Amino acid sequence: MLLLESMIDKLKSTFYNSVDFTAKEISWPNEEYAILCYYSSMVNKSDVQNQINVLKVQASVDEEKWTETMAAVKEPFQMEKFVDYICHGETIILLLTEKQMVHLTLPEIPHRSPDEPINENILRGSHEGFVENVDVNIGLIRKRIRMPNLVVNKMEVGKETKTDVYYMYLDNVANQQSVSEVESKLKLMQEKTKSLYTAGEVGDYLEESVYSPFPQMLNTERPDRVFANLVEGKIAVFTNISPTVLLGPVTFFSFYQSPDDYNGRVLVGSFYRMVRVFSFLTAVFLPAFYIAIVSFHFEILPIELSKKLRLDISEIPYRPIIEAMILEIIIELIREASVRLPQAIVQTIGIVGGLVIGNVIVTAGLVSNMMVIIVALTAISSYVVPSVEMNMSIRILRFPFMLAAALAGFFGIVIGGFVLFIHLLNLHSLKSPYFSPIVPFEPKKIKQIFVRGPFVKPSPQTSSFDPEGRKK
Amino acid sequence: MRQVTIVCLCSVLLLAGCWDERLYKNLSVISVAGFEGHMGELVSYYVYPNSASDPTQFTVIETKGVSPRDTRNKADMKMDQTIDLSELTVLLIAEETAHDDIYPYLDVYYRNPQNPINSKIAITKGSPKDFLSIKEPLPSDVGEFYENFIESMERDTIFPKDLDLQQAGSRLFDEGIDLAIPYLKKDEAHGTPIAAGLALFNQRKFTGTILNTKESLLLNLLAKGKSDTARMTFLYEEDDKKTPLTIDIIRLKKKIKQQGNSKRITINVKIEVNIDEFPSDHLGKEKIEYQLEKFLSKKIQNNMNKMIKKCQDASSDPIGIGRKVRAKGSNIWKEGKWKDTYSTLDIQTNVDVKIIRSGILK
Repeated sequence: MLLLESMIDKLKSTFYNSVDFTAKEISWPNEEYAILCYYSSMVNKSDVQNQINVLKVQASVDEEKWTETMAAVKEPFQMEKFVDYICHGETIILLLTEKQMVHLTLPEIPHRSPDEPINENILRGSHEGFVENVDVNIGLIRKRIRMPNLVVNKMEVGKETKTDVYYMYLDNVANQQSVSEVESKLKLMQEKTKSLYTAGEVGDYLEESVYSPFPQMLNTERPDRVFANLVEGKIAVFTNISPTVLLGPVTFFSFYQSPDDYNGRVLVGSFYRMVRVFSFLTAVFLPAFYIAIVSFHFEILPIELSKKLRLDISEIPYRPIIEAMILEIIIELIREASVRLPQAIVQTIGIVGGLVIGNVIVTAGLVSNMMVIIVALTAISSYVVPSVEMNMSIRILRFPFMLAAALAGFFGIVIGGFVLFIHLLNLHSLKSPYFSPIVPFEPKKIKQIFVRGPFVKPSPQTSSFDPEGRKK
Repeated sequence: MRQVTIVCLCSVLLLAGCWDERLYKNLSVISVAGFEGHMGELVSYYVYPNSASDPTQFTVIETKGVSPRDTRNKADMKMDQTIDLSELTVLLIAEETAHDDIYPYLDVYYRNPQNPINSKIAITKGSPKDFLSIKEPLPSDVGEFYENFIESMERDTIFPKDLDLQQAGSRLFDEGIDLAIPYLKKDEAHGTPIAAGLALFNQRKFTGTILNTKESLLLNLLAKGKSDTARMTFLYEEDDKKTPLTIDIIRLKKKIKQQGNSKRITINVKIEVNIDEFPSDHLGKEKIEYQLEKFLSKKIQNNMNKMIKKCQDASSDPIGIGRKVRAKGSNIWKEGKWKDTYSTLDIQTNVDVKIIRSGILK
């Protein structure tokens, strides 16, 4: 008995005498000494108790494979494995004379219900969202793809945190080159990282150029989006700490597509897809365009508009670039403040920031009316993008363009545009071209940038002049 | 390699010196300008809105100088901001100045890339100053007013369509076609401008001949075809009863014919018209329709012949008969001076009017 107590003490000290670590003796049939160990914060106690009762009954009748149930596995005792299992929320029964351990996989790790992610709202369609539990997340996908070729692989990343990273793809649909690219990058990550904090860290490793303003992996918390991309042959990377899933290889235009396109009707979906592509142009180029006009090329304005504009800007004490920067920074401040604040106060910030500042700043003569219109329009159009990542990128992109426009007018915008496009053409996402249907040029796919095609081709109507349909 | 790229990029960005900033708020945008006098003692007028909130209030800046550019430099000295002509909509030229070769006056507009070449030009009877300082309240800024004024006349086919500095520039040097520039008179009672017709040019000089608005309409029909509308009113006499008859031209086809080296030129014109106004009615009767068509054909043909004669007398060729003859490679183009030959040409028109519509109810 002394041995048993010293054993329990030893186990407790292995876990640094944490209060939530429990190790206690339990009675066991066949005159066996058994110790029950678990983290009380991580197990489902009633389930464990039921399981132990079942095991006791089975052990007393002395069935040969008495440990084999849904949740239990028996294996020889090894200290390392023992620690590992406990840390993963399993319950272990140590059988001292047999030098065996039975571990019960019945963890209870708290997670949310799969609600719709607030940063990716859609109007129609599935309103499920991922949670911080990878089993639930994988379940949400398996529910949609009931095929054995949906492969899930696991890799443990982070020497200190031991976070599980899962990658999922449809075998024989996904590009094998991309799969091995993900594998090799995750292996590299396994070697290098000590602790994994966020899904963004995984994203950094998977991206090819970290300093590019464009995200090369699509972040989403929507199962329907992941599902649609998996079917198209993309690879999804999950972590068990974050609801965010990384998708790749993606193209620039994937960021402008939303599940809404396919939940709605063809014409509606196509129209809004075009609106979104157009929003890229206004979000990046509109302030630059305006600055170029008022500081270089005002002769292109029609005279009716020019008069009012002139009136507006003649009272502003500094040049347009500074005026634009002031407003842009104010908008960014309001945005950042409203992200951090609780829902109830966001309304107030919206009114104070948007209405009061927007109105008074013009009467105070700090910025002109036209600039308020331009910057507000730009802000609105940058939020049209259905991806948060791309939205941020675009918001940052317009600053260099504004600077280029202030330096050299349209000429500057053209130079900037060249640099931007050369960069986009060079970019890769998991070894496939980022600017895909445009370079490499695939005319048939270009249509899909602007138009969401129907799932069904309508069959031609019978002509009333040719009822038997001979002419086709 | 990286350094070379950086140097190249910087030099492209920073050394492209023509891209100097022109801040809109530091410039004074002139929408209408005019000049009179002659080279050496030229007087220019620039209209400048003097109230920021109400652009219909404006001052006219008057400067004297050697050349158009010189007067503009002097105007700059009178103002707190730099004068900028890049939004010039209308340029007014005094009649007496146009008697000189007008190209030297316009040279600066063609040479400086910041001057627009899509601004309209007009010849004024008397000093442009009177046309710029209008006492009557205008609905909009003077520049806008003159632009709308000329454009509305263009739509009525009274002024040639889209005639701007750019088009005038090529015609000034084309021997085959001459300019006809809008001619503005002043309404003595109100001080507002009136469209008086077209000033005929011979090459680069004003001939002194002015076509009235009716003749202008016919000229534009022959030169460029109709614009949005082309209306003519006649007094139709029938059994001692006079009835007004207004037509609106719907379609017009013309063909200029000249054979070999003959000096006879025939212009066949086919016109399809809509009857806009004809109180005595009964257009449904074939006889009346026939009579009207005959009457109109004769009337229009006579007017066109008169108008062409007037142009020939002024040795101005705004229809572009010269271009046609030159294109045919006829000897009459090569022999002697074309303008002398032109004045002696026998130009006849054959007009054939057809009534195809007679209003919505009848």
